Amino acid sequence: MFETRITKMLGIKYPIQCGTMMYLSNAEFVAANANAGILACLASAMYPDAQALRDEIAKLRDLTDQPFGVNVSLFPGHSAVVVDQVLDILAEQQVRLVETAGRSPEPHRARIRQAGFIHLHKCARLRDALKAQALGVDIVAVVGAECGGHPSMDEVTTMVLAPQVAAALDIPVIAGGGFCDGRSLVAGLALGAEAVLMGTRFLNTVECPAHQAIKGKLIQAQSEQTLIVQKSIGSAVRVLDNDWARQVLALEEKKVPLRDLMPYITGQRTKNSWLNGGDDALIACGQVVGRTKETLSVRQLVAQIMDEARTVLTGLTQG
Amino acid sequence: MIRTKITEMFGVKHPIICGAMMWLAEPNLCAAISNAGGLGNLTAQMYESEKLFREALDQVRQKTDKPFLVNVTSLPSGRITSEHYAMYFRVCAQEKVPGMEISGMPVEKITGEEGLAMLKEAGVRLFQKCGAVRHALHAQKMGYAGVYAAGFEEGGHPLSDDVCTMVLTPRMVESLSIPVVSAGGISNGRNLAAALVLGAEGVMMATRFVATQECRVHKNIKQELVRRQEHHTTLITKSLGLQGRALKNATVAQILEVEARGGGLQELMPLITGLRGRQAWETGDVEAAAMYFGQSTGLIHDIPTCAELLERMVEEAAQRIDLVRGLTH
Repeated sequence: MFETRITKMLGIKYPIQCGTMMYLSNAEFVAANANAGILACLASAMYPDAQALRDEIAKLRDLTDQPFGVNVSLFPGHSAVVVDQVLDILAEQQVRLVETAGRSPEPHRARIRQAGFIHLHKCARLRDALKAQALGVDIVAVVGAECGGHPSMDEVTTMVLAPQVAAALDIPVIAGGGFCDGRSLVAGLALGAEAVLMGTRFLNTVECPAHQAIKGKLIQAQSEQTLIVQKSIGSAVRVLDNDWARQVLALEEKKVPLRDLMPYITGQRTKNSWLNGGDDALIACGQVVGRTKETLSVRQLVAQIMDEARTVLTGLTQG
Repeated sequence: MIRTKITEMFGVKHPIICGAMMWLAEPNLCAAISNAGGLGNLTAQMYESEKLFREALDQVRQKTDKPFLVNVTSLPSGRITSEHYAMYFRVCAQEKVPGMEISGMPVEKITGEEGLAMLKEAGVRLFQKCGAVRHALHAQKMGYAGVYAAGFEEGGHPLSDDVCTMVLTPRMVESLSIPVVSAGGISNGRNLAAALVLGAEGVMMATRFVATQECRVHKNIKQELVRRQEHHTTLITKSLGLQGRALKNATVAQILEVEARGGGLQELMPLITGLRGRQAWETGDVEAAAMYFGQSTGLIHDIPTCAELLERMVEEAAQRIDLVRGLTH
């Protein structure tokens, strides 16, 4: 159901990508998504060295024979292994799909082209999407202001951004930000996207390695209970509205120097929280947190989304 | 043709509604939109006396026999008093206007439960513009005919919950039994298709209607909407507890500068007064006022007639939905 250029190019069954999540998108979680017929990418920045990354890819291959991708973070200082080395490992491991995000992929395009990867680049602005296309990227994912994690500083929302990017680009587009169910999937396709990106919704799956306590907190949260922090340092991130996030905002308002802010926003703190369940950290999630009511297995969730998409499409009356 | 609970309720051709706009949602544009098969808007606060308000209603009715909506917005104002609000509601009930868009406080908080009862008895269909499910639930409880789900991307005054249309519209649809009209970020047929898929029974647009032939605004303003991009709006007056989304320009920069250094209402008043807006609309000076346009500015590329705009949107929406159907196998 729903065959698009993206499902055909990637060989996936459904036009859905599970958003790549630092500390969570490991072999087991990615394999669960791949086995359910959707796209997911391993977060390569989680692995401390080349061998650990090779081992994780091998583990992933043991767990699925379905297509998957590997994410290469271009955020400065995100990854212990330098980007070009990661790309070489992925080429050597014959990975087919590379996802980049965080910065322009321009410095790495030659290597990516040479290795023959399918290149998916994730961004949050029309101008970045146009640039990615000009650089020869195969698929662009674009996220609106409602997304968890990093929206653009412009805060342009999916309703405006997705149709604009889809109309402006020739290459296929994945829309992210505000997607969590069958209705939003069909809406995304109607806006012109050829697949949708869901991160927050997939946090609440059985296979997602986030701690049970965090999943519970996210189920309780309403759509208005997220905040955008780190605007003052030019790296906007949408997170759950908790005491920790409020504290970060207060520090930003006081204009404390970056070195004093860092201990509050470091990824290590978020990692501890994901894995141990404490909420003394920034917990990235999008506004669809308010539309997420239960924890399902990945397979159940995908089936539910596709069932609803079918029902919604049938139910639309035309005069 | 797209038929929804909104087209049925009002007996109109298209599920497309014009939102309130000071000085722009006047009888001429209102009637043009209604004659084009949508629902035009007459914004009551433009009229400071019963005589002027009644004249405006008469003008609408001379220009169209189709349904339209009257907007009443309860924002802090130096010009409009509680007597004005009471008058608007009384006249709307007496004149049995087809429907009203209420923004800000709900009717019973502005004019008491008897005001609400009077309007309902007169058959006026009430729509509350809401940025939160809790407010929409209240409107439903009070017997409103429907709500507008107003997302963060809208021009004007989005609720500081900041929930975007992609999330707010379906949240309201799944929480209410009365019709939901999607607002914020809506400008073309793709948006209309998406809103209907999300469960809305119609869409409300305002910014898009400014760039139409019939809108009585200086041509510079229309051209400015064509020229500017989706990332050219920003939030202002957060420091006053009432955020507004407006197009970035010299006045907006000045407002943000005053706010950044802690300047208060007194200093902001001359910059944010609605009379400045009126002046900008008339003179075409695109820097002279905060122009409360939404992010959908980025989706505006031309200046069609209202009829062309609505036909084109509905056709494109139907095409988009057919196209998605065509992907299934």
